[in-house]
Amino acid sequence: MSDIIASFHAWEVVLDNLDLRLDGSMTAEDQARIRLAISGLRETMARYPVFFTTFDYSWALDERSYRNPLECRLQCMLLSILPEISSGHPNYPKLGGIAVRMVATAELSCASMIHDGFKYILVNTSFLKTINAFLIANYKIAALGQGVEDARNPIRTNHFGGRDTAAALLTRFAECLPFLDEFVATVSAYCDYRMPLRQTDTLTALLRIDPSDATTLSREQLLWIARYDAVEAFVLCHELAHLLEHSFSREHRTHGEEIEADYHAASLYFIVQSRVLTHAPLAIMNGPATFFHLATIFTLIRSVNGTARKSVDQEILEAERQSILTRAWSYPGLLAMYGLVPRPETAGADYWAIASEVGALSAACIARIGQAVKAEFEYVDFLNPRYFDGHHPDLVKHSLSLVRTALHRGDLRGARSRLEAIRHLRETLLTVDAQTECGPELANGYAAVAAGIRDGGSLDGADALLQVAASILGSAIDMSAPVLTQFALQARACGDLQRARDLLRSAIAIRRSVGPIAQASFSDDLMSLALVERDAGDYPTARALAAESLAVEEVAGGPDSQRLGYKFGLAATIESACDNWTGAVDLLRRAVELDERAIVAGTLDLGLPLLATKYRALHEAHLKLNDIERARDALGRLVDVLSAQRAVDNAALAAAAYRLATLEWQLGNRNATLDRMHAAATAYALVIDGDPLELANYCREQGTIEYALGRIDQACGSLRRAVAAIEASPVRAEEPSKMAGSQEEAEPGTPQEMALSHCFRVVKLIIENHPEHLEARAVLETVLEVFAKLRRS
Amino acid sequence: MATIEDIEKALAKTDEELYVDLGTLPFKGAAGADPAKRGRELYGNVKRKLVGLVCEAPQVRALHGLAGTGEAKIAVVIADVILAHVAGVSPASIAVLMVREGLDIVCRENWKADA
Repeated sequence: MSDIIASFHAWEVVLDNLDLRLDGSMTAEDQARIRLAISGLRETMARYPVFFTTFDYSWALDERSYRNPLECRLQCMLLSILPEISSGHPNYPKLGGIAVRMVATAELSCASMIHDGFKYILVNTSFLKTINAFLIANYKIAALGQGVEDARNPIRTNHFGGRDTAAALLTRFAECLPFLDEFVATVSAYCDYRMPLRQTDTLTALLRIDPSDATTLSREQLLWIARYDAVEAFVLCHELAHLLEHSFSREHRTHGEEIEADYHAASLYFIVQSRVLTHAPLAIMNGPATFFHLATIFTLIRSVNGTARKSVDQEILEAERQSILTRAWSYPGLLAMYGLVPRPETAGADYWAIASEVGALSAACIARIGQAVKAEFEYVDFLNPRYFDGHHPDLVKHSLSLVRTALHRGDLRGARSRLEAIRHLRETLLTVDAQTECGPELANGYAAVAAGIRDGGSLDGADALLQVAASILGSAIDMSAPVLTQFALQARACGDLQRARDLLRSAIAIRRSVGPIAQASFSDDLMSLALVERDAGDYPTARALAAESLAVEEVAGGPDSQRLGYKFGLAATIESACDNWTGAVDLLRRAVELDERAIVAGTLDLGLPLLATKYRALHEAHLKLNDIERARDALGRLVDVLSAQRAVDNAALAAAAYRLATLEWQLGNRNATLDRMHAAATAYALVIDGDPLELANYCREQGTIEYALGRIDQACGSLRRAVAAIEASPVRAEEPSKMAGSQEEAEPGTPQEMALSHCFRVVKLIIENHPEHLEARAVLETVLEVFAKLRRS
Repeated sequence: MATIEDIEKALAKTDEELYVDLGTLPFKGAAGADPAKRGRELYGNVKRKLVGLVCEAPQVRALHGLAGTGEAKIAVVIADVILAHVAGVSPASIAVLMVREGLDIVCRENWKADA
């Protein structure tokens, strides 16, 4: 036995599940098949003498190297591919010592590995049996639909029985179910590492192929058999690409590596299949199309399988699913990149025709599995239109409505993945007219997702999506106001005011030209430009634009709309910027009035944070006008609004309550001051992972007010809490100081020491005025102890 | 050769953790696997094929049933027996799983004649 085969033996012990072996012992018929394959290999070797002299594959001619005819056939297939690789290829030296090994395992994937310097491609029996089960189900269901016409049938072609399959699924679904379920049960069993029920039929038997005479196959027989071979060949080329191109140091393959492997596999696969399938060129597309469909079904079943889902990370499976779908969509582009087809559209037409045919059954499986979990995975939404109904003109509209739904829900990831699906679909399937028609809305979708991503803080991510939007529109971008607006907002976020101004002016000009202009989006653009002018210091222009924006909004949304309230708030920022505080107050009062009305009507919904912003601004504007009472009132309402939010921001609430306390103090409302200060300290104590020093400051201020109001016991309690918080705060590296207020000279101190010195002063005052107060003395002692401890640390 | 440290590390793990160790193979596949389930399958494969070797090994038979023989000691011996016959998995993990399953059960068929 050769070294490469012997070296794998220890792996066989581990990997081979005897229950899943293709066959127990080699029959005379098996041996005859192996000899036939080897004679073919001899011919290959004779055709490529240089390659087979450079690399010693003589072991592949030894019958003992194989455990079954399929293993031999796959090895011979690999050795017909390898010599196609040019001797100038950088990976050429790696082409020696590669063996294909059949592994009997429930694992539903193929793999590759390097061991003892040899390279192995592992093809799993369960994977092959699953392809077989899929084709058997497909063959039986297609047979049910032969000659059945149905106007709803979305599959146009019938190269591989796809149209018949769809017809059967549409008209005789109950009869299809047993075949469908048998396939699903097979995959499900493997996903759970169980033995599936034994398949009673074989494809060969169904096709009535005489195994002893494979030379006289009919066209139909050839096409079905070729589908099986095509998947095997594609997987082989894909694993070969991994072996040659990628490092094996990491445990998992990345999505990028998978795409690269598809890319490198594409040309080899195309060459080898073109040679074999000269009678059926469309079958070339069958390998990848069927493989990607099967892979999505595997992923779905793994994610819903009753026992598997407990231990498999759903996020990983979702990432795998996305990865597979992207690979499926990218495939025509890969063929075009190699020049194997003139343009992706050319490959796309054939590829998607075949994918749609295969997809008829695939979508039915997904629907069958997905019924129970539709809400959870939305597979039916996502995949059915993609494959099953891929030619339908309403598909883009349907998909775009899903994008809008996702955007409405704030689901940027979902919106983006749906947009990607539409983009690929647009490139590969639709007519030029349809492409032109859906382009603007598709680009708008990308621009809308870009806006969401920019709001989330990723300027680069938003920019990338805007570039996609621009590429979709091409020269038509000059006609798309929504996309220009988003480019403008991006420019503004990047600080390029001039570009933002130019783009917004263009967008506004487009909107004015197309009319009617009483639209919220037109008002949005006017206000965006007003804010740009504000930032640029051109206040008169900013004011004029803001006034126009408000007028348009009032017509578009009515005088009570929250959008109008939002824009009053934005217009107020322009008045604030030019120190017109009376104007700002006027606008802000109108803004909060609208929101307050919405609260009463129960329609404010998620607008509370915006209302809080408006009250904060109103409070500041009143302060600028020295109207302390109204500033206090606005702040009081801000505190109410912050307290009413579902997820209370306790840090913001504490800060607002503290500022309110200081205003009450200014107005001479001592008890109200104390109440607000107490509220501030209480709110901050609820901040998760809050800064103990900040808490100490709130408690210390509360203690100070309590002392001023003569509530000595309460003051001591607050100061004690302050000291405890200072002690709990992490030490901060700043210059040490002597205790402020002590006899020694004061120096700048750490924040802890500064806070402690404030407490020290107040406690000292209490003791001076109330020398009999024992608790105050105890607090003083604690202050000094903590100070000494801080100094030591 | 498995060391006592390897065995002690394996003994400190639960069965589930050992299966995950076994199922995390040093090669990469086209789709993600469930390591625990794969590990369970691999343990079954190895046990089925090497049970004769383990149960008939004189050193295993000598230690089995000997008073005071701890799990660690017998697992070291089993790991040594299977070491040369497996690749890609830890013999220590397999040995500990066999010991936990109980050699009386694992070797029942092989030792039937002796009973």
